[in-house]
Amino acid sequence: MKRIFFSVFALATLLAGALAFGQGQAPGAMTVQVGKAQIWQAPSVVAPVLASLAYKDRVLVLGSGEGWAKVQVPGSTKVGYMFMSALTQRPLSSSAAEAAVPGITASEIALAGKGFNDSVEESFRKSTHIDYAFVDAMEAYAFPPDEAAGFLSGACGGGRP
Amino acid sequence: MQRFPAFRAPHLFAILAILAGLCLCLSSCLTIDESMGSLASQALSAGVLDQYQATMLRVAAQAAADAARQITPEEEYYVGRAVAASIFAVYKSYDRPELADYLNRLGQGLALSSSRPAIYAGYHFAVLDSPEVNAFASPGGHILVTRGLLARVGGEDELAAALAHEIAHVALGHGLASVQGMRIAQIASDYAIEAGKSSGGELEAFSSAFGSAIAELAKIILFSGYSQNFELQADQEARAILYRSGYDPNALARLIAKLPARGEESGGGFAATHPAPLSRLEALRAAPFEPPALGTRGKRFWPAPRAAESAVGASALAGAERDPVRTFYVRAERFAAMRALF
Repeated sequence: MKRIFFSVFALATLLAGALAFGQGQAPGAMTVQVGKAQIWQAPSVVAPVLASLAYKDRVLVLGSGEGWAKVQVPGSTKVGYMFMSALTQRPLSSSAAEAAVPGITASEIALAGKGFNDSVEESFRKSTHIDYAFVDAMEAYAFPPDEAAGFLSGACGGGRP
Repeated sequence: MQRFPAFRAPHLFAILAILAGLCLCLSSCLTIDESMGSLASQALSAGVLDQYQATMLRVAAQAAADAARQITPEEEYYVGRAVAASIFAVYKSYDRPELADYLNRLGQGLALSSSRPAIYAGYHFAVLDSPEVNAFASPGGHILVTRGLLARVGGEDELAAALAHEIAHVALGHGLASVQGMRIAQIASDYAIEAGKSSGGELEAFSSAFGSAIAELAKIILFSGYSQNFELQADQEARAILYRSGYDPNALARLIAKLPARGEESGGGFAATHPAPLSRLEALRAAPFEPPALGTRGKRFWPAPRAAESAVGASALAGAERDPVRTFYVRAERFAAMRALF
């Protein structure tokens, strides 16, 4: 009986998946899809930074063009500009911590609810003994966009982060 | 011949009730996980499933919702980290902090002018201690270039061209597109559905399955390379990045002309992972780079840039200090200083 139920469930999942494909966000509202996103006063990385947003934060988009989104700064009446590539209309799944389902382990929730994440990476590292030290080291080199832009023009540069 | 177990009336009723519930859930615009969560509750109350199995179904529903959507940027990042770590398992890192600093400032500056300037954890660059001429880009924005490639670049424009080509692969999503990224989400879904059948955690099994997908992607990036179409797309995007960043777009063709053709190298390398330089040059000639005209690239809602800034006016670098003569000398000097480390 349980096999039959799982078969029905699998079919229903496929059907629901097909129907769910294409569901979008409310017009104007978009989700931040990068770890840290900045809102600048003008559409330039050398403009003053008005605010910083985190992954999955929501923001009201007022317009877009040439790779920039004109947005309303959350919790303010100010208007600023973000990279359009920092935003998405599609929903991002909830985090493991948010999926509080009793009776199963955190790792199970993390896997099923979020796909590949730091928990899975930890397990992957243990099982394969792959060394991430060099990856972590290269990620330490992260420069603010205005500094990177200044380096291209020769206006600034040098020194370790 | 295997016979299907006979339906018992209560169970048949339960299945019909669940299917009816499914139809109601879907028609009421619930999300897939909400729909399946509701189904799990109904199955529990109908006595079809026990508490644990119903719970696992809710978890599987979330995974199924994940599988129905694309890979998230966060997942792409973790895939990229694993691929980069796999590359470091094959090649030694070339640890020169000054060179890493230079390469990351240059590369991160170039990425600002790509079609995808913002990615989950940003673009990062490192050098591999190998005489082989090669460069790799993982989906998460980890870009690795060999000392062999650095030795062939004749100036900062050409170095920028090499980095811009790899940035383009990331920006255009070529990594996951090469292995049908949906498959990775499917692994999560498969795991959760399997977990629904058993009563134990399968984290190790899942990471092993994921490891297979990583190995497949690393194999493509390391040994067979992206498709010719992706390589040519990356060349086109690289020229646009160079132009918007204030570098010479023709530096890409100059660099390609210096790259090894098949047969010049043994044991894989650039010739194995990239199309023949001549075919890339022909493709670039066939589609000459044309600087975008101001005011014709979409709706503008901010002041038009000054004519003097036309090369970067519509880019993320608008407003950055621009003194062409000074910039030329600064770039030449710092490249000469770094060259000793290549």
